[in-house]
Amino acid sequence: MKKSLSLLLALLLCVLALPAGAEEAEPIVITVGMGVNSSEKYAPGESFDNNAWTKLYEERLGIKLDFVLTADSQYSQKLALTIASGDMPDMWRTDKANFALALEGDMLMDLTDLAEEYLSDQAKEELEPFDASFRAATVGGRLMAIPYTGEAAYGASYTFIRHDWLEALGLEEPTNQQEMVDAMIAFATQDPDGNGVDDTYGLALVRELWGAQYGLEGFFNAYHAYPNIWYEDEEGNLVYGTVQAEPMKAALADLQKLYAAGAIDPEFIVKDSAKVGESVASLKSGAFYGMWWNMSSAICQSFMNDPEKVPDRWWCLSPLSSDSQPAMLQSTGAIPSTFYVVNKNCEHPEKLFEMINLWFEMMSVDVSPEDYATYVVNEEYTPQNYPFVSQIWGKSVRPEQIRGLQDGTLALEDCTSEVQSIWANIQSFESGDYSSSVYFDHYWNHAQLPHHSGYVAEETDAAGAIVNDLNFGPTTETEAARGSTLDQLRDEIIVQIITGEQPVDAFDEFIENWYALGGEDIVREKNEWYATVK
Amino acid sequence: MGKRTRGQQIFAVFNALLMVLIIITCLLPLINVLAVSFSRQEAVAAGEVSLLPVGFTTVAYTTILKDRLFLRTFGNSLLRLLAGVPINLFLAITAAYPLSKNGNRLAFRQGYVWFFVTTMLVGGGLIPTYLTIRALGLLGSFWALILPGAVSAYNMILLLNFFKTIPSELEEAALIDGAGHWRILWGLYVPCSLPAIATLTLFFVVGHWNEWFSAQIYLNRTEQYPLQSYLQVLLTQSKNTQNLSLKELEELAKVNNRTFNSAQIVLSTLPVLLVYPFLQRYFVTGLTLGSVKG
Amino acid sequence: MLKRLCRERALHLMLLPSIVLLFLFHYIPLGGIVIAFQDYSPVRGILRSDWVGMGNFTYIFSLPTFPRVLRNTLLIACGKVVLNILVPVTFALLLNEIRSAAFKRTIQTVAYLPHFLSWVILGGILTDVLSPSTGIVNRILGLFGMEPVFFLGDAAIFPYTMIWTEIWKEMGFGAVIYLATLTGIDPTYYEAAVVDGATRWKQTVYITLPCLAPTIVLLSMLALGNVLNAGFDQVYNMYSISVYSTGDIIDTFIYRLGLEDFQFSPSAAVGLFKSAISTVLIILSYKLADITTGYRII
Repeated sequence: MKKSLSLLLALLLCVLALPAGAEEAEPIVITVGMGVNSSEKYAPGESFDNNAWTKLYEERLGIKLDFVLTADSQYSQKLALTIASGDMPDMWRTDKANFALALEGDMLMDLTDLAEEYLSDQAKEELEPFDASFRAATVGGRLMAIPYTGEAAYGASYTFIRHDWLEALGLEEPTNQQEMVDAMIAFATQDPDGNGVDDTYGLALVRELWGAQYGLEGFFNAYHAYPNIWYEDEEGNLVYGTVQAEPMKAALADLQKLYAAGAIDPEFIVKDSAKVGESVASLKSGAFYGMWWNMSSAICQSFMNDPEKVPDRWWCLSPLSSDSQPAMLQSTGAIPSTFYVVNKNCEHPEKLFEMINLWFEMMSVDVSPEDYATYVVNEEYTPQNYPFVSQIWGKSVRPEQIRGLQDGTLALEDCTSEVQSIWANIQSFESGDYSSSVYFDHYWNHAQLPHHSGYVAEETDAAGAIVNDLNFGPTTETEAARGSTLDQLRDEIIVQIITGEQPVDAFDEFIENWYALGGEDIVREKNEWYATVK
Repeated sequence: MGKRTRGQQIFAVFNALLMVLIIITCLLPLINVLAVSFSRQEAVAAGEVSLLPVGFTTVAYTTILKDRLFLRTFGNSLLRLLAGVPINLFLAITAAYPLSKNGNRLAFRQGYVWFFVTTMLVGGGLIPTYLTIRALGLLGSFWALILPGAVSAYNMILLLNFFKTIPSELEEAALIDGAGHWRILWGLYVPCSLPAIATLTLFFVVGHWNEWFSAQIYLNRTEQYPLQSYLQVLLTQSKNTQNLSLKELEELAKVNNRTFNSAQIVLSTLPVLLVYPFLQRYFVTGLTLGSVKG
Repeated sequence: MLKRLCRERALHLMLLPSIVLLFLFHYIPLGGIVIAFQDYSPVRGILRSDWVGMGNFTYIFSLPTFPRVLRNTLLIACGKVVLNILVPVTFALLLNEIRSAAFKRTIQTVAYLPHFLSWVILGGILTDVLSPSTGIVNRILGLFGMEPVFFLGDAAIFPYTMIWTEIWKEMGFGAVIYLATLTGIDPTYYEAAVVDGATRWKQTVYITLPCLAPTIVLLSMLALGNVLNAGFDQVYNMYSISVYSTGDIIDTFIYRLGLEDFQFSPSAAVGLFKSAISTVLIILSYKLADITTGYRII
């Protein structure tokens, strides 16, 4: 009886609600463009345009996304072609070059006031520390895009060293760059693995010379040299790190010394990061420079492959300096790689901000475990990669919470779902469960243990020991015309100096050439631009 | 075949040795790829795998065969072959036949020929081609993979030259019997040129199977891609780190998927490898036909 | 004339579908060539972009590294063009001498395997195989008392490494067309030659080669269109900083110039430059073949 009554009521309600219901049944269609990752995993029946997030968008925001412009590795090309054809979607993700194109074509909506009006308080608070990222999205004082955000300290290049080899050779942990260089030479010459064969190298180096894995940035930073980035000198002018003769030459002299002593693989010049990774994973390399997460790739592989399963072979060191001045690390991490933009003819620009708000809601500390599994991460899938708006990160509470857990000052139930799952992994690692992801999380997130990269990154961040790349503006005219040629000359001379084909002083000649072949104009153009945004 | 001289015997031995050497150098890389695909990921990452699998496992294969997209795009590739290769062949045959005639039997022959050859020499570039395909309404359509490359001047010219070697007396005889060009083409030229057509078929099959770029540009959904476009995406992912956020870079570094890549290469190369031995018998057919026609 | 067209209409109709398709997908986009003479911006389009005359050409040619890039390209590409004819022909002839049909088929099939491996994959494998310290090739050279050769890192050797690895990769596939031609040769020629007491060598020189000649001439001519294509995928996956001086080619150069940053006009200018050179070469060789040997190949 009761049941039928409620059924009747429900029916009645339905009839009454029909007009409103009909409206809801027709969500606003927003056309979007974004790069998709074809190897992303989805639950059966789901895809990039039909998943938990698209349903959430429809339910909560009343919008249906129509993915009219998608591609994988060719997204950038395709976006440029679409810009040429002129019919843009309502909103799209763009890289820097296509952002500039769309600006040139006057295709974009000014987001300055909309952001103020529609961003939630939570989103504003989360985005607040990322001024540096937002600067790159601001043109003539107007906000023209919402950028990916990134913390500079997580884009710097850290020092990784084989701690077990230091012990085997009776060496102390290096406290300055000279000791580091000596250790790298000892690794190559004193048979640290004790197999009686001369098969070890001190420094693993990738053929491109630069980059997140096995690049040289971190090495140069020890000498206060900041190659390939633009930073302010004392007078507030932009200077280009590559052409600062003194620190660059100091670093190059030591690289030459390392190479001459056999600490660098003479075949490094043909080895890409996968190949260099092999030498790290097979325990043949004693040190390298790279972003903090390298603990989880080659080092993790080497652990998995290690019959003895020694967990602490690798240490991440705090930045070392070659003199009494503390070392600073260069980083391009605050410069966004990708932006969200809105078509200036879009009828519902506010929906972008609603999506951003929803993103932060789901990424927040107090998201429920169910929502965390549905919208962020679960055992099998990573739904946080699905939505149109993603990859905008607030300041992470992870290191702080894990530190609290290890101090015992924080209770597990007060932590985010993410930290709870990490903590479970840390625990199982310590109880001897060495499956790959467990090891990864153990290192990745032991933020408060010295010699772990997360800890060192946090520490560097707190100390403010970061030199930010200030080259967040548009590509200048001479840079577009001559940049790649100058980069090529730079790399060639550096390789020639490392291998001893040219003396270190040959770098002076390169600097002269650099200025003569267009560098002079680039410096001028950069400073002219910088004066307008400072 | 008479008795071989001493010199011929020595030559035969060296020749056979050389061929064995060629077989070895050509097989080794593929064996390496095979070995990697059956090895444990960590062993591959440590550079331990050369010609034999280390820590034998078929996990890469079982995973791929469960990958919906791999199977789907595999199907798309087969579909593309079924639609594309016959069209290619039809157009190459119908264009090569008239052009194999002398200038006095086909008006404007030279003009036609250069009309074809020019397309081999210059192209308009990506943007105008894209805009044209868009204007024709082919964006997002399967036909955008088939029609733009349907006429291959290069292959047409190859066939044209095979057609030229067919003795004209045969054709004249057929003409006297009252056969039209259409019947002469399909009843005489095509059967006489089976080795050439088999070669062309191989070229077209391989061309369609390996081409990956156009799908990534003209199609919108990975489900529509042919297999190689999908594989290309997976293979080059680690190379395209420019537009990744720090978080994405980090995720990328976690997965070392050389074993998967290798298994995918093996699975995607097999079908097209099988085409060749199958077509080989037409080369033999051609031989017997050759003796008939003489 | 009309009468003639009418008589030949079947032939012209056969050509029609190909002509229509080529017109749609090649000739209409061909108008895009003009962006080589513009400062093209996708936003403004072809019609409203600024004209810069030969500006893009002078820009490219004036870049300090362009001369060496052109030289490298010519060396590598010419080596490939010549050897890509010679080696597959030789291979096809040698294969033809193998008596066992099964062995022959096996070689044929296996030799065309490398064609299907992309340079991304082969790049990694070749780095191992050609390594001066651990690579098998250098170990074999060592057996003959030779010093290790750094095939991929030594600037003096790199171009030849590119040429020969490409030849190796494409040899089997390139031979397919010659093998198809060989099977088309009338066996009665050979039978007659044997009756006349001709040796295998003489048969090859007087029967096989002349029968292959049209195909060889045709393919050589068509290959000339590649005289400035040194192979982007291959070089890009195998070159390195230390071999820029001899290994940087037009295509890698253009790639680094920033196609990612959409310098459409300079790259169109380079494309046009390459087309112009190959057109001239192809027309020249066509005339040359016509005059000297009487082959009218196309």
